[in-house]
Amino acid sequence: MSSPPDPSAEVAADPPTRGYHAFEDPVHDRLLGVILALGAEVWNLRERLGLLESALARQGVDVSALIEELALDPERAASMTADRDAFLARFLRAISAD
Amino acid sequence: MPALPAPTQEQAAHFDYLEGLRGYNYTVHVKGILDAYERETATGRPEPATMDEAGAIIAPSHLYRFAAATQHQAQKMGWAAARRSLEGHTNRLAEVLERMPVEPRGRLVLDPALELPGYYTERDSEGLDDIHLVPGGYWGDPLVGPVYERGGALYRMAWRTGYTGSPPGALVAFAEGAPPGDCRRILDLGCSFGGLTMALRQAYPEATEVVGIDISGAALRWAHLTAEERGLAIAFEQRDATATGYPDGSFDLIAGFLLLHELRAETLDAVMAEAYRLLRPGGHIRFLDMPPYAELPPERAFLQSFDCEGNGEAFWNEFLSRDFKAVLRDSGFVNVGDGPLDYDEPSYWGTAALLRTGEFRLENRWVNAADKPAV
Repeated sequence: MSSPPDPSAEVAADPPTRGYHAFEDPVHDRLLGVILALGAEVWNLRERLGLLESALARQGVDVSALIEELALDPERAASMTADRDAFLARFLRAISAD
Repeated sequence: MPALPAPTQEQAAHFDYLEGLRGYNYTVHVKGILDAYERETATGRPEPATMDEAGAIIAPSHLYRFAAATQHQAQKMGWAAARRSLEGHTNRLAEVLERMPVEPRGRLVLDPALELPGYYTERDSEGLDDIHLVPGGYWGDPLVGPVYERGGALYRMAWRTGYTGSPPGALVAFAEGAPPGDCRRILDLGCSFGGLTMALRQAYPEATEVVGIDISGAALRWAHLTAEERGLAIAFEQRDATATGYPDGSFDLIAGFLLLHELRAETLDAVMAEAYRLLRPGGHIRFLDMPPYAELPPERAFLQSFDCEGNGEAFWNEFLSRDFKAVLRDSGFVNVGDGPLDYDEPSYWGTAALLRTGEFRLENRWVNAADKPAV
């Protein structure tokens, strides 16, 4: 059964306002929202890729082994390095730009 | 419940992600907050006595801010994902919602002329977030039933089951908890999607009438369709709980689930006055809601208070700081009591946003009960 209410709890009864933010600067809440949304997209891509590999395996194509083989190909590795650098430049432009 | 469109792989992956995100937030971030609080308060200095003192320790921490921001963002993402999963199916869903069962066991009575209160419909202009951050609230979107069926299930971390897909045992236990007696006419106040109404129907098969009222016609429509699919004879009627229009003494048992904390203090007082009028002499009234702050350890009361700002629960702090037993007594009720709902259920289900650390706690659900004097 209940004990008498804590009078100090009354202090908490300020009305809330629209547009909640947990950090002092609401921009940080928005940035976290972007990160969480990106996480959702990354998870979807990972799951879909896994499903694609499973679907191909069901058709008799061992794409996982082919992926491992291609990943070790030196010629392809060089082109992927350039792709990676371009990706990073695009991705981090907002930070590195003056 | 009426069938929802099956989600695509991408939508299902998104729902899974959001459930995983919530689970991580509760079991790692929030648990970390409580562990850090325990370490902080074990250093020999006086233990915080109030939620504000506890909040002064917890609120500045980065972990709390990340946990709170994550919960808020995940809630908004969940509703958006639920709504998006219905796109392309809205015409079919609208048809389903309009099509009434041919031989219904119960009935649906809507009142398009019912004037909805400003605190319910004008939250934006009043500077308040929508209830539970549901875009458009519970009344503005005709598809709020399907949206809630999926988004509410995400909140309960069970999107594959659906919001009303499996009747929560806690609701049936609560419904069955009324004292033995004549319970032929039963009323569920603020029934929304009919979860408690259906539990009451199941708990009292001999009842001559089980009625659920709410001011949201869209929510009632979904409740009606769900109840009919389950073969449950329930009357869902669009009425304002402050002025229902029913005659005095119309009901033997009146109940409500998660209604109280959604009401302004003056509205709550008006609902209790109306409930007293509607109950027959000797009748019983009971509510299942959140525990008052005074019943919680200060650090848990502080975490519970997150919902007010962070989950669009505008009147949450006001209600949980109030002595609701005094409200019941002032309304004329007797045998007023309260306490935790003694039902063992995983605490993930339906608890306050930041208190889901995975362990079962009795205070996750709180019962208030009273009787109308017999004479």
